Amino acid sequence: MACARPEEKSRTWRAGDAVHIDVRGLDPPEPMVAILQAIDSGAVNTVLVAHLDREPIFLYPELDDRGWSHELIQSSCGSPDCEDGIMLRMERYGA
Amino acid sequence: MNIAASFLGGAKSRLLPRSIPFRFFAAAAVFQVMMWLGLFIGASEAVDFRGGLGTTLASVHLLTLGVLTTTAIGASVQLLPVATRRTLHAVWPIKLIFWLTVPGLIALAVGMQTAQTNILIPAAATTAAGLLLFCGLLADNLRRASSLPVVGAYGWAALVMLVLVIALGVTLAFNEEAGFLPDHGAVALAHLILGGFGFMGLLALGFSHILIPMFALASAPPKRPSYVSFAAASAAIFLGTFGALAGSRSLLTIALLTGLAAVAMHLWLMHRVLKTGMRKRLGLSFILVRAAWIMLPTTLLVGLAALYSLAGARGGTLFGFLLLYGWLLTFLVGILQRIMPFLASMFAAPPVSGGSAIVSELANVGSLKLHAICHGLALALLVVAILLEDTMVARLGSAAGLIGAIAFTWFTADVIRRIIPAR
Repeated sequence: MACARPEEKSRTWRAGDAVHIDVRGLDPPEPMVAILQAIDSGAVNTVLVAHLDREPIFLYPELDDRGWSHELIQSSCGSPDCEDGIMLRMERYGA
Repeated sequence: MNIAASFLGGAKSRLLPRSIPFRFFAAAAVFQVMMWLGLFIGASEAVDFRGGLGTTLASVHLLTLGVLTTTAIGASVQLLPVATRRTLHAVWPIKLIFWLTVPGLIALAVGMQTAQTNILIPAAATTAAGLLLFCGLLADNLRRASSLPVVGAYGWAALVMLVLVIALGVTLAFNEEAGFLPDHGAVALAHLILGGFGFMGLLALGFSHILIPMFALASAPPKRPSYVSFAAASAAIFLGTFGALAGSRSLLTIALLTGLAAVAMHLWLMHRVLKTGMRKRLGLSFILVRAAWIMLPTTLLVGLAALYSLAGARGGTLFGFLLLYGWLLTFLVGILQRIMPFLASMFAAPPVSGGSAIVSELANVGSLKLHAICHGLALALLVVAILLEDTMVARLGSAAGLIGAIAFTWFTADVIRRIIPAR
């Protein structure tokens, strides 16, 4: 799965059944805040894929509290953890 | 299944085995109990403490090294590799740090309490070796922390302060035997300033730039005022250290005023973070954090008053107490209440059906409420005890602190118990 976003000016886009959000380049804790804002705003119904610089360890409890599951998925380099970032797939429980 | 505990690849190797950070947190919880017990036993000495070997000095070091530094080591070895995206190749240096600092500190406390330099000096050397090893690990991680410039700046400054604290601490220990220092008290004050405001204080202020926005779900503070606050805080600590060593009231006054300016800016930044955060109800832990934020400028104001003999006969004792117990310990336990369940959640499997996990379950448990009440009561009673030089009130305050520390240890044990089944 490619890490690049289709439009350079936009941090979010839709691909297939998922909304993608690219938070690479943001200083912590901005990536976590941006992802939670996307979830809390109701803009994402089922699946959200985040493109990050680093593993968002403090995001996981927030997702658990909101009833969202999470897993790291293979990125452009074939590993969950590339030089150009990692990808996290989040899905609402029961969706 | 929690992916943080299970995925393959580089990120997994940056998560330490759960026993590593939590052995430091468990030790810190036990040291907190020992620290309050020491104050309880030595209450008559504590209300008028002005330095020197004995039960109070041992208790103070159980706090500074046992609770504050041990926690800082546990949190930073877990968080920095993840933040800096640096893979840890080995955990043995961290285990070695633990086995040097924890037994070293126990021996150090015994040496201080019994005033036996044949125990004190080797214990100081052992503890110093562990702390210097930690400095090496911290430096190795900080040089990769280019994406966290403000936290990195605070981290580097804290690292320099720690090296200086260690150097002065070992010098003071040797001086107890050899007596070569012209003014032991002046060096001890510099040691307190470098340790309390320098190493621990700067770490607390620096990590606030990432932890407070993270807990409040807000953007990080703007960089320029953050750097101004950092520069003022660092300058204040260096001025204070030189002022203490030179015995210069003018330098100490400038240091305190510069420190107050730095604190004012820091608190304004934190206020903005909380005001703009998505999460408004921050719970019990932030009552402690806010109390600590009140204690920080209060400490500096009491220091200023003590410098000009306006804080009573025991102004210096009150200054040291507010710095270590009022500001640093209160802030630390507030943050720990919040961060320990977060760290534990990385290792524990969430409920299969989703919903609340370990963080929510542990956010407001009875042991934390008891700890917060007892901690606040202990601080209030000990301030009164110092002002009135009343041993009985000091003993009551220490007993309240001891009960709170036992409750906090119970909470720590509960957190650890919850992550054991994930093995």
